Amino acid sequence: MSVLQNKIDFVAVITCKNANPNGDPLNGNLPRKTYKGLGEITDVCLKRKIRNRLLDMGEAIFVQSDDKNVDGYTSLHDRADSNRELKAAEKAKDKVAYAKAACNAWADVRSFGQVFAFKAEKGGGVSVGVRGPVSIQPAFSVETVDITSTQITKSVNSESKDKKGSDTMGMKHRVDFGVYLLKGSINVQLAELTGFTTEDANHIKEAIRTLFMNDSSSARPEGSMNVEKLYWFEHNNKLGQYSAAKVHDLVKVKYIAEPGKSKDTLKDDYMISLDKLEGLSCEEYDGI
Amino acid sequence: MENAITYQVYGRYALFTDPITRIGGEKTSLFVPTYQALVGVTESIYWKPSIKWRIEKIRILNPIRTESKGIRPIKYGGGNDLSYATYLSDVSYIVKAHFEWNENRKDLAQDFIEHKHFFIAKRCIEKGGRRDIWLGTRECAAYVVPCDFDQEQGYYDNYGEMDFGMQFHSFSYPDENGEGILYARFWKPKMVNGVIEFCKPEECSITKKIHKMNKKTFTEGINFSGLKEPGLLHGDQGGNL
Repeated sequence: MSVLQNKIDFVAVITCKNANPNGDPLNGNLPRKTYKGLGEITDVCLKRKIRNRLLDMGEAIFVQSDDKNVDGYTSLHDRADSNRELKAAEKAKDKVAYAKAACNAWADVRSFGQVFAFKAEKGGGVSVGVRGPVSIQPAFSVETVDITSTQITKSVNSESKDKKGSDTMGMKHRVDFGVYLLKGSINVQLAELTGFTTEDANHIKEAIRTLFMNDSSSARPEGSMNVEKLYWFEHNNKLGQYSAAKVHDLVKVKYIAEPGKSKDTLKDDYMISLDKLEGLSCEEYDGI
Repeated sequence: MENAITYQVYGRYALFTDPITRIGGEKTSLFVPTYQALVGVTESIYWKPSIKWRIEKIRILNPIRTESKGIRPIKYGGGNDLSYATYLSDVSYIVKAHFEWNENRKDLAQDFIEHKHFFIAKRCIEKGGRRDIWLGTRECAAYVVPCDFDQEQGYYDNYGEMDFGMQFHSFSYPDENGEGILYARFWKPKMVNGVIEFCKPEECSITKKIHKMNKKTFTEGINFSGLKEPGLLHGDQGGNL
């Protein structure tokens, strides 16, 4: 497959009903909220899910999470060391060859980039950095979100004790309903540097369209998180026909429910509209 | 030589990490962008090794506000940390910059064509930049649009003076200083009615040597092209340059 030739921008509309899209580890795992009250799903959370989907499709992934691990390596360091070409490049102190080998080996390095950390050497830098062509922005909700927190109890102790242990009480939080907008771009100049192909772009597209497949958990039960729409704008040249600012603004999601009459569904409460820019094509997909 | 460009760059968040806060892993943003961060944004719009971007001044349009987020960084050797990062929220800046020839790149002297670089840079601003734009760190995605320096209203337009103390200005890379050494430069920015006029990098009062670094070589045909692109001298179609 050939290296990507045309710039791509994309926007996805995601809904969340009674789920925790992305917990804040330093705030009791409450769903992330900005100071303005908008719900947030971080870029790294979204990239984690895209990597998982790519892994499901059979792609080689460098940053594997412990619970989706397919090759048994428990750290990034071990996985990098397991690659013969990378080892050879490290020995030869050839950073360019190192980056190239890493891009060839793993789809997520080609897509998102990666920093490979080394111990400091005299006269050189301290790590190899690969900048990837796919940039994903954090997704924010269109309207402010309401969070419901519930107290939960565990029905049995983890360890044998006389009475109930202190770890049997806990909290669980959910966003009642939220519509989030995911925005991103794929850049040709950086694709040329990492060898990111048109086929890779199609995999990313499919991964976003099916983002929440095989992702269910107690915090996000099956069906609670959905990609409703994916808009995929492929420009007809490398630089892009229009700026990403203009393209991302084409997708508008408006809250239209009357006060007090919200039904907490996308169909009843929100209106999605798609504007056009002359000469720019848009592929529109429904989620799964 | 009129080779100055102005553009507006805006985003929901920005993180121009104060190096002092990096040590503990809890990154906190400086209140205003550093010179180097703006060079980075401008280079993402357009750059060739034969030119270097000089930032002249910046206008800060929105009130300076911060917002903290809890993050869980993954360690390279396995496991994770937990830390807070403090971002600037809802930022919008207007930047004026111009390019100069990189005189340490005599090998690229045939690429010192003023019109070519100026028009490409103008086109790239209209298309939002050649590469993706971000403010300080890559999770702070941002957009670039064409804009005159005085076009927009700013929160600090009649605010008077505001000082920020000693802070990082920029790096001096080996291909600019020709010494094979990476330096960090520091200065004391002052905002006057929303505008910070940057001092020239070589006028920074404090310079600190960081480490030795080799200058990257560019060889035509291997990792450098751009002297034979078709339509190099085509100008802006609006003709309003």
